[in-house]
Amino acid sequence: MLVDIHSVKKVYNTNGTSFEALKGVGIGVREGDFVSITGESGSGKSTLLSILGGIAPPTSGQVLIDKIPIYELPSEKLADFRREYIGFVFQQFHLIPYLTAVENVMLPLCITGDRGMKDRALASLERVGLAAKSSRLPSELSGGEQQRVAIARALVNEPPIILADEPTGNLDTKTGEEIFHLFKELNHAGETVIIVTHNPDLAKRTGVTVKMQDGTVVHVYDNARN
Amino acid sequence: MKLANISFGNLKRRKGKALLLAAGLTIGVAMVVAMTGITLQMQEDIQKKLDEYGANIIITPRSENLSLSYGGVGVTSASYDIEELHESDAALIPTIKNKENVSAVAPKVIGAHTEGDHTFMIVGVDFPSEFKLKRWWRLKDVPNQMPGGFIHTPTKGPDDVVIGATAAETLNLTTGDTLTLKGKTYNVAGVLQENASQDDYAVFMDLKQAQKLLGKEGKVSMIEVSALCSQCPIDAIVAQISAKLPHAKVSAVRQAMTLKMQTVDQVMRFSIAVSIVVLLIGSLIVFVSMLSSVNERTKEIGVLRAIGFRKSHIMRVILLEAFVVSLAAGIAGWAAGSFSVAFLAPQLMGVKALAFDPRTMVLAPVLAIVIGMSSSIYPALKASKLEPIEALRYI
Repeated sequence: MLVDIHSVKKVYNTNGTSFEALKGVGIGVREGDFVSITGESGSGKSTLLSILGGIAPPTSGQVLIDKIPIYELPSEKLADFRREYIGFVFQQFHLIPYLTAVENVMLPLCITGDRGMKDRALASLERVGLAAKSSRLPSELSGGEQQRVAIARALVNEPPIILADEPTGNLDTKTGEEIFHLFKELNHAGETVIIVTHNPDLAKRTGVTVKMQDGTVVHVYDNARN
Repeated sequence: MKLANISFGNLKRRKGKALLLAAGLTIGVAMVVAMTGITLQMQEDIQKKLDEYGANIIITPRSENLSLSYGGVGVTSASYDIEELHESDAALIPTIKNKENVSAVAPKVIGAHTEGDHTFMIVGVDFPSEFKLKRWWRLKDVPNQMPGGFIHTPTKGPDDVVIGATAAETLNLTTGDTLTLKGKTYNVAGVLQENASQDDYAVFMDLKQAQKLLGKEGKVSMIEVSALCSQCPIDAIVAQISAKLPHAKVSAVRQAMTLKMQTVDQVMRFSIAVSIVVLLIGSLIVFVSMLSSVNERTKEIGVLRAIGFRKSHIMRVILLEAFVVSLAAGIAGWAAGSFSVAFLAPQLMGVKALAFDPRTMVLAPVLAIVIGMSSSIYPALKASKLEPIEALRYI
């Protein structure tokens, strides 16, 4: 198993009240899987994805990625893990507004000071079909284009796992379809892809769908069989 | 592309914020530079004024068994067999190595004189030097005399005399009267206001006239010297004068020196206190601005953390920004402070000040950088410690 989690709980405490977002979740993802996580708002799917991405520590439970217990790492090592293992695509894109497309894509590389970083970034942009707009600022790109830049950024370090939180949520149907197609291509090329989506049609077109409700996994569908 | 690109990119985008941050620090640095420039000059000024105010070195004949009546020189109606100083001795004083430090040389011949029923002190002086030394002297019946400065020399010729307050009362004399001594008539050019010293009892006359009157031609009883001691210690000047006048006793007036040092010290402390307050305020402005700036960028910092930036990388980005802004503020503050000292201080405060001191040119940016960066450490640490997911949800 590339991703192996057990009994994961996440409790949020705000203003003295506590809210259990995840109530003991366990899933396993193999290398090369294309997984979708679905559920209504508040089901805990984004929380689960954040925990898998190393950006939100669980309240309790075990999280193993490539057999590494990631939340037992010291925080600077956890940051390194995120850089090397995870390509995270956010729903709101979260591009740095004062950096150009290619500079945004180069961000994960500038930490290591890689010499060929510009070429790698351009190659990544090429993969998402945006090499021609590499020197545009995010404000000069459409929603779909910004999402592609975010995907390019997630890919540039060639991480084994791509996590995408509602990647088509802010896009029109046509663009959303193009983006989903891109993820399918990446998966065919060998990437392990886990996406969160509330769109059941898109979910059906992935390999495995994990359905969540009220902070627990209620069902796991093998879409290949159905 | 480096981490620096993120720092510079943010500064370029948030020019207004960066300028506000820089402005606070610039004002702080400018004030410290101006305070320092003005205070250093004030110190020098005060030192000089105090040095010039009265004698701080007294030269007397080397002798024993003298009773003190006029600054260490015995005066009675009988004459002592003391080896007096020569008039030419006074001329040697401006030839010492530190001659630029000699502000005034005031030789005096002193003796008692009896005229009729009255015995009083005759002090023969070189009037211009004496007035330069005795800045507290004020004339009776003369308006508009500036405190701390010369009075307009009332004596015009060798037959003019100036009389101390008590002596004038005793002799029943005022300005414009005449005084006859040993058959010679002298004009009372002025009467001094009372100043509770031996000067109240003296008749001051031209040195040569007094020498003749007292039968001490060519001789002087003591020489008072005011030396400027800011650059060189008074002991060195005393030693130099002693070397020129081996037959004389040369002493520094310790009281005057101590007073001067205490006054100068107080000015220095005041300046330091104000500077500290100003710098603290500057620090606070930077701290608050940086905190606010970092808060605004919480989401951005969250993204960087999520994609694998370490806390140390985030710290570097923020501290680099703080460094750039602080350096700019330090240079601008130095320029603003120096210009205000050079052009405004003389207009507003009547103080001529030393501007463009090379020391402040280096210290001002260093100070700004130290304050800017240390005030940014907490906001930077705070930002880098947030869990990425919390930062991303931050509104």
